Amino acid sequence: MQKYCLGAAGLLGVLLLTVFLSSCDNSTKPDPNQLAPLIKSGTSVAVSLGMVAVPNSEEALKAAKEALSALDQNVLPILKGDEQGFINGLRKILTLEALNNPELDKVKLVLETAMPLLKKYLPANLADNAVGKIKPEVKLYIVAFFEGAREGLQNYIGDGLRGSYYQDLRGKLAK
Amino acid sequence: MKEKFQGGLLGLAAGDMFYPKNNGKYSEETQIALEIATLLHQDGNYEENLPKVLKVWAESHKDNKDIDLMTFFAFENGHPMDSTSGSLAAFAVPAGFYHFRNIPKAIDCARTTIAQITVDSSCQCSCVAAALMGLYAVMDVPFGVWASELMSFVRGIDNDLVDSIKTTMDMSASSEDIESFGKFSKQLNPCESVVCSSLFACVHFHKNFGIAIEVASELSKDPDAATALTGACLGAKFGMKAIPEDLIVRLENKEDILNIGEKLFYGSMKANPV
Repeated sequence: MQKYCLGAAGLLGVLLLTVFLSSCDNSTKPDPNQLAPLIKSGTSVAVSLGMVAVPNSEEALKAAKEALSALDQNVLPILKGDEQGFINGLRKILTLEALNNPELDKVKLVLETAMPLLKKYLPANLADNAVGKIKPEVKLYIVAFFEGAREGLQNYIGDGLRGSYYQDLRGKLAK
Repeated sequence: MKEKFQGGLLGLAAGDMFYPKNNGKYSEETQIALEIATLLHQDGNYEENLPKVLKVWAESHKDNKDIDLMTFFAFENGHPMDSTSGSLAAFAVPAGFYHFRNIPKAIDCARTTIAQITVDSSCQCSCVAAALMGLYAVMDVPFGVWASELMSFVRGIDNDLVDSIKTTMDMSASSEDIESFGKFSKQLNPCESVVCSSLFACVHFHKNFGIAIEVASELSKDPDAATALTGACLGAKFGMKAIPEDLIVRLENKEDILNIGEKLFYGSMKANPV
C-alpha cells in the first residue's frame, strides 16, 4: 500500500513539475496593456530624437509640422474610426502613404526606422491580408505607434509636453 | 565616443563597487552586464546565446545569496520567471550603449534581453528606460529630456504619482524633495525603483559622481543596482574623468572592462553604421 502511495505521490510530483515548466515557456507573450504604452513611449522618443538628427533643422521643423497635420487628417481619424474603415485603410497607413511627398521624405525615414517597434508585434502580412476582424491588441499597438509618432513630432516642434526641452536642444544644435 | 563606452562600463562597475555592502568589489549587476556587453559585440545569434551564457554564469555562482531567486532560476533554467529584481535594470544598459545610433533597436534589444529573464512587463518597460538612459548618456541628450521622457516608461505607479514625480524631477532638489522622492520610490517594485532613483540622481546630482550614487543608493529599494545604473550613465555621459580616481584605482579587472568597452564600441559602429 505504502509503495502505491509513494508511486502516486511521485506521479503527482511529475505532473506538477510538468505544469510548472509548461507555465514558464520561453515564448513570453507580452501583456498588451503594458506593451502598447511601451510602443507609444518608444516611438515618441525615437521620432523626437530621430528628427533632432536631421541635419537641416529649419527644413526638418517645417516637414515635422506638415507631417503632423498629415497624421491628424489622414491617419488618426481612420485609426479611431469604425472597424471597416480601419481595415480598409490599414495598408495605406502601415506603408505611411500619408507622408508620400518629397518634402516629407526625412520624416518618413524617421518613422520607417521606428516601425520595427510596431511590426514585431503584428501578424505577418497583416496589411495585405486584413479582411476580417482585427484582434483588439493589434489595433491597440497600431494606434499606440501613431499616437507615439504624433507625440514625438509635437515634442520636436516644441508644442508637446516635452516641447521646451526639444526647443532648447534644437537651439543648441543650430549654434 | 569610445571613451564614453569605456567610461559607461567602468562607471557601472565603480558605482556597483561603491555600495558599502559589496565590500569593495563589484557584484552580479556588473558581472552580468559585462557578459551581455561581450555577447552583444561578438558575432553570432545574440538572443539564442544569451540563455546559455546566463546558465554558465549561474552554475559558477551557485552560492551567490545576493541575487534574486527568480532571476537565478531564470538563468539556471533558461526560462523567464516572475522577477522584479532591480539588478535587471543594470543588465539592460549595454543594449542602450550598443544601439545608441538606433533607438528602436535599443528598445527592442533591451526588452528582448530582459524578457528572457522575467515575464513581468512593468519590469521590462523599466529596463527599456534604463537602456535609454545609457543611450541618452552616450548621445549627450540634455538631462531635462531624460527626466520627463523616461518616466513615461515606468508603469508600476498610477498617473497622479507619475505626474508628481515628474514635477519633483523638474525642480532643483532640496532635501525635502529627496525625502519625498524617496517615499515615491519605495512604493514601486525594485526594478522601477532603481530606474527612478537613478534618474533622479543623474538629473540633479550629475556634477558629483560620489554624491549622485549616494543619493541613488539612499532612494532605491535595490541600492547596488541603482548605484551601478547611475555610475554607468555618468561614466558614459562625461567619460572616465567623471569617476573618482580612488574608485578607478580599486577596480578589479579594469583592463578587461576597458577592453570590453572598446570592443562594444567598435561592434556598435559595425552593427549600426551611419
